[in-house]
Amino acid sequence: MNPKLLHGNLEPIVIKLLLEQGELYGYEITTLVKGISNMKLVLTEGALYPILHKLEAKGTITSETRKVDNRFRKYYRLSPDKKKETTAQLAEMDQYIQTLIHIFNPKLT
Amino acid sequence: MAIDDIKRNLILNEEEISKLFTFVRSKGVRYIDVSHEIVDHLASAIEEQMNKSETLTFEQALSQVYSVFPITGFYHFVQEKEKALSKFWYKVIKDYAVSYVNSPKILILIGLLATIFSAVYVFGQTAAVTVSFVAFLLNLYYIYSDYKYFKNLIVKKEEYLIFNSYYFRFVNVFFAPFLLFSFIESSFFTRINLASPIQVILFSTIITLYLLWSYGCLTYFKERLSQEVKTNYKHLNNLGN
Repeated sequence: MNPKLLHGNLEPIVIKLLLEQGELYGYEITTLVKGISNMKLVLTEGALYPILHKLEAKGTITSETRKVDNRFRKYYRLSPDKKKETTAQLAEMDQYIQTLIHIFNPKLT
Repeated sequence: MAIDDIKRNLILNEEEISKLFTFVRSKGVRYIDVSHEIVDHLASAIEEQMNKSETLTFEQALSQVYSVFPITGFYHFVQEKEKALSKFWYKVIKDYAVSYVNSPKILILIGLLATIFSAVYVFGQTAAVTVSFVAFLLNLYYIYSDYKYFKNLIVKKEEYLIFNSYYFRFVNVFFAPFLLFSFIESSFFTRINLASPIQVILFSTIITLYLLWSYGCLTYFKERLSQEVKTNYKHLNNLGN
């Protein structure tokens, strides 16, 4: 799949996964996206971490570092005080997906 | 990864993790705090590769994993982290400024400005020299206090992005010659026309803003740094004092 298609939708994908899973670390997010999409979407490190750092700087997500298997691992989770904002962002994404389906495959709607 | 793909449940040992730190450093990542996240990512990917293939060595797995990274290696990763921290500090400065504008604290600021203005306007050059000198001394004190705070890191020659992004300490060093110049100007050359209220207001405003900035460096900014270190960097030992 063209990576450009994924690029604009990375933020809502990360938010959605964090909402469902509670907390995740970077590598886990890349493997989850690969697994859920049946290898159709490959989230590279170069694309994922900038999004995580950006969301963290905005305060949308928070992180906690814990020692796991001889090294430190940074876990990300959604900020509780930004829940309203993230829910609105996901609702907007859902609406966008429905609109795309309506345009590309009207029979389904 | 499908469960059938897993051939073993290998976890990298401390020596291999240490090799990863050396590898990451050799690729130009000099910040210890940033290295930790990259190392965990590489280690997780290497473990996955090695668990899929029993014959794959650590070095081979590392080479495979790193080949997926762009030609710029970890540069983009570090750059984005730098940008995120810059945004964080701008927000801290904004919060500090807003805390003065949107609260009764603004009266303190106006009071300080009025005091400096009156002193310089009434007592002339003596007051201007005293105010400039006090500002310069304070600046030296802030530089010393920053040096004390970061001494451990300077001695160990360790670099952490969270501290390198704390621009305030560099800004204070930058201010020093200007404050010294301002003191020399007001003591010897008297370029400030003390009979002109506009020039005195300008002088008083600059000094007041500098004092506000310096107070922030000693209290609010440093507290936010300590808080950030305590919350997000507690896993790294001996950070700051």
